Amino acid sequence: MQMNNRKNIWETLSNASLVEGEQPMVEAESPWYIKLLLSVSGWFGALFLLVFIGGSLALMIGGGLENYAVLLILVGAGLIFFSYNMFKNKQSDFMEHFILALSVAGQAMVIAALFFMFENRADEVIFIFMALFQAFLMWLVPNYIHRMMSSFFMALSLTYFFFQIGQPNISTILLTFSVAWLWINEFKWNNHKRVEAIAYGMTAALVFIQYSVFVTPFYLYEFSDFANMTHFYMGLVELGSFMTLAYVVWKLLEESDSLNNNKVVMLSMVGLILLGSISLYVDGLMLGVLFLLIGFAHSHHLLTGLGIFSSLAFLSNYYYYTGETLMDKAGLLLLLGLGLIVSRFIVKTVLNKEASDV
Amino acid sequence: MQESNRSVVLSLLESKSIKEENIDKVLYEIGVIPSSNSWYMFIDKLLLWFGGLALAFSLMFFVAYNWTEFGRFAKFALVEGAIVGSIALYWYLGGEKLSAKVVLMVSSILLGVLLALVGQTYQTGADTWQLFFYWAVLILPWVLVGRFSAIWMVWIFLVNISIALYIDIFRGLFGFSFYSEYSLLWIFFIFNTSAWVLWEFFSTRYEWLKSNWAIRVLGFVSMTAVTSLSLSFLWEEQSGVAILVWFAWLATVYWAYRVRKVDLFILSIMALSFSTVLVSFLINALFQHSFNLGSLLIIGLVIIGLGAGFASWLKSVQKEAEDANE
Repeated sequence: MQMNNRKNIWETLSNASLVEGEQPMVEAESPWYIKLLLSVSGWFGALFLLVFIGGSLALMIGGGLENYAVLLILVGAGLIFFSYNMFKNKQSDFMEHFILALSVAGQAMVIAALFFMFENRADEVIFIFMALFQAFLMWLVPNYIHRMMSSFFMALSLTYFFFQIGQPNISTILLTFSVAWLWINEFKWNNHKRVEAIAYGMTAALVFIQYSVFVTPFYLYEFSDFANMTHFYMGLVELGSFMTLAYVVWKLLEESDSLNNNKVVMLSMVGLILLGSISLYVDGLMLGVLFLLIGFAHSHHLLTGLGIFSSLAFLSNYYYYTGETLMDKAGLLLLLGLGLIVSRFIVKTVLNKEASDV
Repeated sequence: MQESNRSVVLSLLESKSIKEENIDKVLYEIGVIPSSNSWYMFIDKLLLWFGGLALAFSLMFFVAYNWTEFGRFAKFALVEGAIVGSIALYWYLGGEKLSAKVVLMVSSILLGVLLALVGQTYQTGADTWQLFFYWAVLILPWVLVGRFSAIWMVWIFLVNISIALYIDIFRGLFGFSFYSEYSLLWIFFIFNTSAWVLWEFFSTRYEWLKSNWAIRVLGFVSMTAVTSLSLSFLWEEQSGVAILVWFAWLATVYWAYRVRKVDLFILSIMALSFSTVLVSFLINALFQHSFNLGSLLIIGLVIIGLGAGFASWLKSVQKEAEDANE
């Protein structure tokens, strides 16, 4: 049921005694693309501010900043602390954006200082510190866009850390489960806005990482020894995605009171096992389906769109997978296609439903 | 334009207007959590689309494998048989059903596979652009008959690819020679903007063309092309016509999606285009002769100001559109 507006929804819920009191006068939530526009401009603004502040410091001390790591940390921490205090009060749009850029510039200064101090001697320590630092800011700083960005950088730092210690699969598994867990329980969190911002940031990081690893030879390949990412590791990632998908299906069955319906539970199990088997060959497909299911289950159109796009992208990318010949792939896709079409008839028969062909 | 039910519920949850024990009931009541019937319809469509596409991809991969023990006549029989079979199935199902639309999409993909097989078997020496061009031409009748957005977008995609490949080889179109790499951007801009305008025009007449996603994809491609052209004027000193066309594009988009009707997504990409060109202009002007730190601060503040200003404007447009719906 798609209702016209806020007032209609309130009236419907009020008539069903599902809400109390007067209709709250709250501002409508901005769509995701406005949030993205704000994040991108904040990030680019921060880049220029960073070079300006760094350049000014270099002019003042009359030399290379690499010798003044402690100063950089102090200035960076000062900027972050200042931003945190400013965010505690309501600000104008411009000021909010300016403070965001200052905070990001401050974080970049702290991180640059750490790299100057350790000079590539302990990258894994720096990355785990960055992840913890971003997690701390993500939880603490009371601003939606800041939270989203901290969550994104926290997830990326954690991934780089696991890449450095030769376990790239762990971060992907952790991240996939965290994203699913946050979205599938989204209506149950007490502080919904905070969790939503974190979930968006992590989702963006997961998409970035998965596309980097599976689809394009992006930055991660050069970041550490990609040879570590053997088929065994890929298999572990898929196993992790399978467990996450099983958890999501269980939660959805629970949400729709279908755990007692044996037919539905059995069909879900069969579907899960089929999808899991195929995903052993078509890397990443399960992630697409995961987004698709969560998106549809909670009317989250961005996740649904991401799911459709990811599923098609990973399916197309299967053409370039070198582990099998095109003949084997053709055979697998034939089985998949026939399996799905037959499943459609089985679902229809078992559930005794009319076709949705309208 | 209206706020989604999901978004309204989330704001009600945020304002603590819903008791914890009522959350699930509210979500069902206003359809944020789908009913069992909606779930069934969704799974049904999912199985149908993925099943159909997997079968089409399967045949494509098989042909690409070029199995020599499988004779060429057998290969042609297989692909042509699949095309004839799918068209017969489409005719049998009747055009309006979802399954018929999936079958038509599969047929359209298989026609491309057939053209690739012809090229593979007879080594005609044809250029790659011809494959995509003839593919687009041959499926056009099905696209016209099919009457659904996805197949039109596939057609537009094929035409874009054939144009890119053609220009890459001949450096010209319709007898006119191009000497600049920006010519391709011009053609992309003209073609995709025309498709966008036509789509908008016909969507007022045909219900099946009212797909926000398709209009937004075309708008985004048009914006990317015209913004790149404007940047080429600023950075590469290309023809000033680009900047005039960009201004005209901004004005038209504003009229169409702010005055005539409201689409926040299109207005957002318009804001992105405006900010990108303005900041590039500033960078070009301030750093053309010398580098100085003050300019960095100015540019940083301008970026922040543009982002905040546009976000504030878009939020006010959103509020105005919602109030108009009341």
